[in-house]
Amino acid sequence: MTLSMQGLAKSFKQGDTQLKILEDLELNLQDGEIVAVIGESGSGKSTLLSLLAGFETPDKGSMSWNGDVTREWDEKRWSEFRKRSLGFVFQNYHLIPYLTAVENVGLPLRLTGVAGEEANAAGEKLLRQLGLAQRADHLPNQMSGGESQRVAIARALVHKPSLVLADEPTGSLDARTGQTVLDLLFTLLTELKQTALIVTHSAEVAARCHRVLTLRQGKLWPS
Amino acid sequence: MAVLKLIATSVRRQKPLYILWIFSLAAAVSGLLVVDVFRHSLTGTLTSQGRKILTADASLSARRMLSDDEVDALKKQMPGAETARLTEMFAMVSAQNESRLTLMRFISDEYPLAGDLTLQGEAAPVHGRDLGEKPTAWAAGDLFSLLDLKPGASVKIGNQEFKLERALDKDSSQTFRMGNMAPRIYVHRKYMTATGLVQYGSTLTDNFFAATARPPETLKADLEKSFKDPGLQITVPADLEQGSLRLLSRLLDYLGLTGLVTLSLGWIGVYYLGRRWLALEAKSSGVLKCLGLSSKELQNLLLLKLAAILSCGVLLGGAIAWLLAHGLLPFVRDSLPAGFQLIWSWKNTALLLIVGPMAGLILLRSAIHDLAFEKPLDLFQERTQSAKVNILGVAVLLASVAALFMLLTFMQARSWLVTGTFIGALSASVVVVAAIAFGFIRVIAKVRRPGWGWQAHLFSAQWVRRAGTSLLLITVSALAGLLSQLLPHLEKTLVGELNSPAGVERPALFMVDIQDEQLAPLKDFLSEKGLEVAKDAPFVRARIISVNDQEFERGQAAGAMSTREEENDARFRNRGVNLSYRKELSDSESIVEGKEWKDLTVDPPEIAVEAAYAKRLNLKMNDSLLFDVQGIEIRAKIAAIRKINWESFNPNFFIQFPDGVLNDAPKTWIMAVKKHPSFTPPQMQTLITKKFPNVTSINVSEALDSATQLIGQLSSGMKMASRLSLGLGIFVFLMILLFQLISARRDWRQLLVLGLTARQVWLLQVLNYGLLCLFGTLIGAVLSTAVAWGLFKFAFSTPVTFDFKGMAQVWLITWVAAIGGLAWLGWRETRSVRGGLSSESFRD
Repeated sequence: MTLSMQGLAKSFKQGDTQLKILEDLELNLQDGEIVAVIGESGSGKSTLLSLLAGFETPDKGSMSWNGDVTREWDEKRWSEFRKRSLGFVFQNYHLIPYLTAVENVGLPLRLTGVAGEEANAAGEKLLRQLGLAQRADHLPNQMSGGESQRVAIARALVHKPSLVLADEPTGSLDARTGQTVLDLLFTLLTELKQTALIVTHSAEVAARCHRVLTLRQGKLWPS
Repeated sequence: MAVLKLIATSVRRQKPLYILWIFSLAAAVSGLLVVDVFRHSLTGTLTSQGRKILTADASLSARRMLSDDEVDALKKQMPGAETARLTEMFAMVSAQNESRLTLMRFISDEYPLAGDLTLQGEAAPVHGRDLGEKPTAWAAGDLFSLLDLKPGASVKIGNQEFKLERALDKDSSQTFRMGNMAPRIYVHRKYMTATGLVQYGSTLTDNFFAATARPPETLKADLEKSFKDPGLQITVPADLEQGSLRLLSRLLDYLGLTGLVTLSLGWIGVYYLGRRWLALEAKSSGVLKCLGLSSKELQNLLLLKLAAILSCGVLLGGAIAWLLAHGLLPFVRDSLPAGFQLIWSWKNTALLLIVGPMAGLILLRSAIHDLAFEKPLDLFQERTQSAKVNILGVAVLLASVAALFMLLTFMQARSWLVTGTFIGALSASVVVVAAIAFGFIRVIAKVRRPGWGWQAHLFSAQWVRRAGTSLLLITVSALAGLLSQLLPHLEKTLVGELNSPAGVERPALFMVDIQDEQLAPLKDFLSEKGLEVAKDAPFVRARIISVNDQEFERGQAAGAMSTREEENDARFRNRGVNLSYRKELSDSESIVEGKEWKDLTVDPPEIAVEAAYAKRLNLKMNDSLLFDVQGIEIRAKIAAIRKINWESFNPNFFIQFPDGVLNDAPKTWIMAVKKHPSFTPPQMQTLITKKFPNVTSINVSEALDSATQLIGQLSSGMKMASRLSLGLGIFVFLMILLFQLISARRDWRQLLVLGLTARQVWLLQVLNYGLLCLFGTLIGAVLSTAVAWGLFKFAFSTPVTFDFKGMAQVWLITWVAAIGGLAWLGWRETRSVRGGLSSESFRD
């Protein structure tokens, strides 16, 4: 997997002012690499993730995925890309509240056409690995924050995506739980040789990544 | 001031919620309120116009000629009062080669004592004395056009020629502008005998009017004490609502009940939005508590906020109702009394406060209390609408809502029977719908399999695990569907009742006031002309003196608070008795209790009473009735209760004697004449009137067409109310959906993040909620059929005529409107979620 961003720029209009968030941004990700992006609030970390996921379109520059230039992609292609190639871990878990843990985990597989039984089996396997076998049939509102985030991690990895995008994965958890979740996340990412881009404020999280980039003045700088 | 500022700030921040909340309450109350405005305006009109409509302060009337003794007794009760007399009857008027049925009014010099009676081209009101010395008549403009006459033309009424002088312009005693099959005609009483119309047993109403300064309530009470005969009607202006406007009042009752169903749907919306509001208030409430606000203070703040919002809702609802009433007025003016004006009564305000703030407080008070007394830190927790269910709270809530609803129903229908039936039917419908919906959800939960496609997997999970929302959506769509789909059945049955049932031939004419000695010559005359008599029956006027030796007293409805049942019973009790006799039961009668009478040797003679009449007068088998038949007392025993098929077009009577008992009593005859290919009914009328001028003949087709027209008008009102209810039902359904979509934004967003396209998410929404709506409306369709069947079988004792085609059309409209709205809302919401993917996904 190769991801390349060249001369990327993005600005937003706020009132009469045009706010430049990203400017001439360069990023290259290699297969199996875990990269942390750090930066102050408002530096453009969320915008970067949004561009990567296709939620926003860059004003300038180009992005390519395995050599395929994304500027040509329509909504359907982006959806297909998200469905098969991306996994997401959010600060607030974002599980589907009316699906059980195993159904939540199996959902990305089902959306790609995998049969329900097979998706559930894969979900159960991953939940077992994360120590949540007993919680498989529980709904999100019956689980703690740490458990919910572990389910979210399982959901991000179950379909073996090319890239995992994680946004403050331990931001909503207490230190101890956060530590446990982080251990599990990094163990799985390493085991699965998973490429990941993690946006974080935490120095500890950043320290465990292969590479740390700082987002400042719209550009990514190596730390 | 600070509190108001706080309220204003939160309203600004949650504008869509508050706008929809206010609008849903406004929409819910406006339907009921429009009906209420018309109802109280009608009462107000009658209070202000009652004297003009009655043409006096009091009247004594009977379906016979009043005796001199009765008139003298009345005059003694009101010494110095001005008096007038009016005798009214249906009679034929002939001009050249045509005859028409008219409402004949024989008036005295002083008539009218109050109100306006004016002639075209003349502003000054006229009185009986203005008819002059010569036989002159004033007639409604309709009669001139029907008989193609000009002022000054000559007409024959009975045996007397009259000059038709002028057309009437204003007649304040005529409450309605249309629906009159027989135009009015006024002549002086001194020609009554000369016309020969008033003979023994003639069908007429004799009125004696008085203008007096005595208060009407005490006057009526005193007169009722003096005149014990239930056949004598004492009327004061306040009684008019029970009389001439009975049909309109019934229509308003029905519309009021429809409005209540709308209101109940609206309340579901208000409750649902209220819970959503409380979920949004939780965090700020937590902050306020942390800042030192006590639970009690927080509760009061939330209640104040709720009251402010609900007040906005009812104010808007009141304004919409007022505008709607004015908008509708031009379309319904012809069905309303002359001089009708829309007024806003304090009772409208009271209703508005009951259905708005009071209902809202009842619905949400318990939830507000729970939130206000929650621990501050718990308030910061993520919450869903169905976070906590307090069983006791729910029970108190349901009991309070049921009590309030019962009160409102009684206020609308003023009938415990209707209230009980309505509440019972509605509760049963809700329970049945909820039970079916619950069963459906349980079945889905059982049959749900991992192997289902992802779409079915997602929405079946949502149905099962958000069972409360699914139940609510199914119930709302089922109730809206039930109400709207009931109407085609009601309309077809009501109109069908006026048409001849299969195998029953509608007669051409129905004749009354045939004197005993005219029967044979009339039959010979008809036979000579080739006309065939369908049926005839003797008609004996009488009054009931006692039942089981207990004096048969005048029925009284207890004033303004009287129920519809009391009014009906009083009306039936006071209407006088017409007796008839037959050798055997006709083919339109059947015995439901007792036996058919044959044995004339039994003393007292045995009679058969019609079932509904017996029920109203509380008459039972073997009761002994004493009748006064023209001064002769006749005792009889009830030996049979019988049912009459009123659709048979046969002459039928409530009380039937066996042949041989009343044969010598003074009597008249009624007769039905069959259709004839060579004569139209008006031609038959003209022929008969020429030979028998006192005999009144009614063109059956014309009378039924007039009734069909009236039913059509009533059904238009019912349709309008049902459409409004249906519209609001769909609106409430869509509003619940909208908030369901909004509150599930995060879920939809997740599905987009996980790789679904916006179109796939939108389809999922439409399928998810559309199938629930489809299921609900189908339950509504089945229930409407069952309710229509039950309603006609048990309440109206008549078989229902189902209109499945009409029902299917309404169902399709309902479903298409709901799905159309859902598709639009879903697309709008999906686009909004799609647009916010970037800002919302990686922010919180």
